[in-house]
Amino acid sequence: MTEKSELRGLIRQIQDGDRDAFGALYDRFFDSVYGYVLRQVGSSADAEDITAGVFLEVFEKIGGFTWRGAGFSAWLFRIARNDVLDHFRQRSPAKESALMEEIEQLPAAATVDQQAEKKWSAQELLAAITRLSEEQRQVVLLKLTLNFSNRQTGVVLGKSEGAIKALQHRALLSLREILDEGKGR
Amino acid sequence: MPARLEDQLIAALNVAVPAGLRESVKIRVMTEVDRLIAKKPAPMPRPPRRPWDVLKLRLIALASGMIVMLGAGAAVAAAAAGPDSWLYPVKQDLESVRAGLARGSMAESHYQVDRAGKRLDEIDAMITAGKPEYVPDLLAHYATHMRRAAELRNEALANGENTSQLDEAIAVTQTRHDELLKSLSGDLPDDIRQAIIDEGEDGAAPSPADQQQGEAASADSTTAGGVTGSDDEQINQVPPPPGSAVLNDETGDADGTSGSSESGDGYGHQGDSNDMPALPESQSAPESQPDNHETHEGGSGHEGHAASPSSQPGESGYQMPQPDPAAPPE
Repeated sequence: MTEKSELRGLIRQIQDGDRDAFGALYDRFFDSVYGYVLRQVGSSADAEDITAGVFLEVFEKIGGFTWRGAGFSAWLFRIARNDVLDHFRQRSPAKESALMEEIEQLPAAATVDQQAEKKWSAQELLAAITRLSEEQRQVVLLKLTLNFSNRQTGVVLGKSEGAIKALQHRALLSLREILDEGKGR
Repeated sequence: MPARLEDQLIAALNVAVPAGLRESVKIRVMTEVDRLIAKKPAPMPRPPRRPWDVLKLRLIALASGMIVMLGAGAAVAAAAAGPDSWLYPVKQDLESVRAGLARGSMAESHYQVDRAGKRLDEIDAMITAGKPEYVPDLLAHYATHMRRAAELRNEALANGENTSQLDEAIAVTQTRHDELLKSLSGDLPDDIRQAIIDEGEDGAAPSPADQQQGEAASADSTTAGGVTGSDDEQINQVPPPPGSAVLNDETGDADGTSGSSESGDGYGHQGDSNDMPALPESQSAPESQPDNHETHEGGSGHEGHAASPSSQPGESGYQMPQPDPAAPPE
């Protein structure tokens, strides 16, 4: 059974009311959702709350989910992104700037390749990402960390594949500029 | 070859999820999922997909759909049935089945609180429809649901579950009950009012001392993780019996579960007032158990209302029965 057909079966079971199947879905996607949320909100406590909220929303809405082109992951992360946006709407501007500082200080799990001709520290990269526009940041997170396709990313952001490609291109250009000019320091 | 910027970004953005975090969040999520499952009707099973000839599959789907719709229609009609409808017993049976499907004490307790709330809705509807004769039975059903909710709540607490949301739901429903009865004052004929009083007397509980003895014998002395305190503390953490809120006619406040207690969780001690709010203009009922009277006055959080004549046991028109540990589960 392929991974995709396994996921389809799991979702079908959840839609039939199988609680344990939902637990299995949760186990499958928790790390990626939590990481995605944490990289945006900066606070692990907030990330936990938002992630829990995402999965509860998934449980409530999965009855209406149908398999379309982009698949379940795009649907899931669209919910996650909306919940993160709702979280930010409730924050004051003063908290927003403090949040950006938190995100920059989050430790990365892996070390950067030591042999790269041009390398930056994880903190520099994270700081540079916070200075991208929200949509560019989303493209970076979804495409690079979650390995989403342009189509899936487009579903999450409500944009066409072409727009996603353009956003990704501009995001990487912007990051290089920011890093080269030391704006992330 | 230098690492690409994209690869460096991937490495930097990778998040190491702390050990145990997934499980701790999962507990929160699945508890809420259980509660949502208890509130929802069981989903209709999906027909299996098979590589049949399209026309045959469509005919079967159509026939299945019609059967399901007929059954669902009956269930929907029953779900909306009022106490004055012939479908009402079907509705009660459906609710009992759903209660049995609830997973875990917490989920079932939430469902019992929901059922109690529905009885209050039905009381409202019957009064509006000019059919107060249904009120005494509905109050009795309400008491049964809340009693069961309290028992299940204790079970969940003993299992180490966090009952704060459940406690709030119980308190809200009790308050709503108290306010509803207060608002019924002018709407009940004397014979119905007397029936309510009689219903309360017939269901009167044993004295608190007897009840504690009975509950102590059945209470599990080993507590799950997170539950501290003695068995007495657990018993004392049972929310006051339904309708135990004492209305202060002067202030109009319903002082029920918000009172402080030694256990600190906002619930009164066992044996605190188990009086229903007094129905204005009601005649005094026969004296209630003297133990209740004493512990009511001594109960913490009720001091401000102990002196209220409307709150004194024996003077209120209706007394809710104490949770009866010997009663068979619903």
